[in-house]
Amino acid sequence: MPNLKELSKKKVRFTGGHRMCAGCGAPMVVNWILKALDDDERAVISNATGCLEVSTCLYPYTSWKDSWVHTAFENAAATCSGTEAAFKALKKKDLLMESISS
Amino acid sequence: MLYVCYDNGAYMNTGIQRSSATPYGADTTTSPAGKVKQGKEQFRKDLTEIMVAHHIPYAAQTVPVIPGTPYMFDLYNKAEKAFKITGAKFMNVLTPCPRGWRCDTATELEVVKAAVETCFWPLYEVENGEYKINYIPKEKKPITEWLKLQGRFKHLLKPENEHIVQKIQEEVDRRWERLLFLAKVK
Amino acid sequence: MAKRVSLSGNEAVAFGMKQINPDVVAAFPITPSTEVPQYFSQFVANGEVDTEFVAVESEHSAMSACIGAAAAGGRVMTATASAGLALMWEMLYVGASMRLPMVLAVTNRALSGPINIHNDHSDTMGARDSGWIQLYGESAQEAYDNLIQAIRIGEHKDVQLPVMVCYDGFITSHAVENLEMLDDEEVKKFVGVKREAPFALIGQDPVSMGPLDLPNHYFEHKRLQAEAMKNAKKVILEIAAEYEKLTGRKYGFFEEYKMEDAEAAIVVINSTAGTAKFVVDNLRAQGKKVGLIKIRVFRPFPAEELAEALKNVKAVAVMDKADSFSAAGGPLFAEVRSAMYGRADGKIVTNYIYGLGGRDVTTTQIEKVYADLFNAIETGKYEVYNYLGVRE
Repeated sequence: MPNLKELSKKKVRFTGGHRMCAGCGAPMVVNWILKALDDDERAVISNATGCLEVSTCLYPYTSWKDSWVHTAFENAAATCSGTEAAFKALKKKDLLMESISS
Repeated sequence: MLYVCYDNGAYMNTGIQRSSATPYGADTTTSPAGKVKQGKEQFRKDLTEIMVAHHIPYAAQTVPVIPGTPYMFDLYNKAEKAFKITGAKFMNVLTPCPRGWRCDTATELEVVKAAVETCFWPLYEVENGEYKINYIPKEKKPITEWLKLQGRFKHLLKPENEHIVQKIQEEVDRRWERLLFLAKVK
Repeated sequence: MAKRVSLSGNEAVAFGMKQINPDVVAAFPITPSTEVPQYFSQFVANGEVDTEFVAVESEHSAMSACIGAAAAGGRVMTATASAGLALMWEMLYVGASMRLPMVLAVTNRALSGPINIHNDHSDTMGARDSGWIQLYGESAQEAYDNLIQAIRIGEHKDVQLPVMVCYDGFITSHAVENLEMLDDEEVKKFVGVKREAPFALIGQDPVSMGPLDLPNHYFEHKRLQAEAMKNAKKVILEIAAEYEKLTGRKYGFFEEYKMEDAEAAIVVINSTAGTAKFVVDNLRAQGKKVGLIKIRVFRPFPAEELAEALKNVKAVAVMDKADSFSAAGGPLFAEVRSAMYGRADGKIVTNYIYGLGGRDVTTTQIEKVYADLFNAIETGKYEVYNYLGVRE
């Protein structure tokens, strides 16, 4: 059973000031998913077009403290699969500097 | 890669259009309840089962953190587990959209709770093909407990639509029984 | 040292990709491009490249994965044709506007419908306004040379745009030709190890890419994108000069063939140029002043340079292997005539749509085009819009 007090000390990866509706469940879900990462891990988040995407990254602002990418509506996973492949290739060539969760 | 679907049951961003994830009977802007139709005419596509069918190492279904419930940390636990597994992982999170569901923001988590307690949205996970149900309600609530809290189902509670509610109940029961079987609970 | 080899166009492209050794290739099979990912995945399977090959389930996914990989900071390549390119459509624009260098080898094939697997240029001509640089090649040699140069052009700091390397389906993709390939080491040195990625998803600092961009900023971003395409003109010539030093093969925006004193010229793209040069040689032997321009760079469009090259001719026929159904000529015609306006006025400019769906274009047909041009010069009478080699 996780300890709520401990969890509250975890790094905030998704910040306030975004434009999601009051009461929307999505930001809660995002926060709790990202809490499950270790604090020293870096994530890449691929976001499909939708409420979460349009409300959290309006140029020139972003709510995301990890790398975040949006390309289109139907292809968040396909986009991410390319990022994952690039990560593996760059890792193989020893061109990476920091750890990123796969 | 962990794929997280926050399932709010419609295309909410464009203004609440029906999607394959929209529950049967829901009143949306492209499946409106009218004089001859009573909302969406298909049952909800079971995305979690579709992902299970891909035989990925981990697929799970869960809900946001709801304090005071036995499954308060279900979302967190599943995310933590998923991040540690290598390969394609999937989580389906029933996520309230007060505008689309037409429910009260202050009590929206009660609606999600009703989804779990009626077995409309069972909490379970499939790890390497092994099913595990994470929460079995002591007493399964009737589906009306979930329907009555949301404006999008209001029309279904009229006496003349009782047969639709019955149809929804039967489908929820069928899927729940199937899940109990797959998880070897029954 | 460069070596002489006999390869099909697809083999030349696949071997070129092997020498480039990109970080990621995400591709989906489609005739007549299939061989490229097929050969390449064999290189991956044999450990001859360090590339991660992503076997996706559609071309839309292929381009999406390429974008994800390029956004991550990787060097990315893929290949497709026809309907495959059409399925990538949405993502072509996204990739270009995100300013992500990628190289896409396109074996030109007719677009459906009706379905047809043979060559014309309806696929890439449709993608001409997607924001990609477009290079066209007459032969396997040119496809190979363009591919190697494309990496450098797209990744240049003043450009940062994706590049299509186009060559004719079957005619070039499957015919075996003699060509000269660079040494692996020479290619490695020419393309460099790592692309210049000013921002990357897995770079030093986290970044957000692909934001919602509203009226306050969108226009400026599009304007910057347009500027990058302008910059590409200079960069394309610089890279070509560097490549010429290495190989002795000269590349520019287009090739001028016997244009010095030409009175009648045709403008053409890709393999048909080979057939047309044969006709030019024959007509020249008969004392006729004919010439040819073969477009290599269609995006950015070399408007000023083309007008300059055509300023002394009396009549030009623009050959389009694609119809744009505008009822006012094909895409190349529209661009060439527009380029001449105000720069090379007073010329006869005609258009011939030809070879759709792989219909053979013969020397006799091209002779007819030149005959039409001379007739137009003499009589002043001519049709602007023509279809060549079709039953009517």
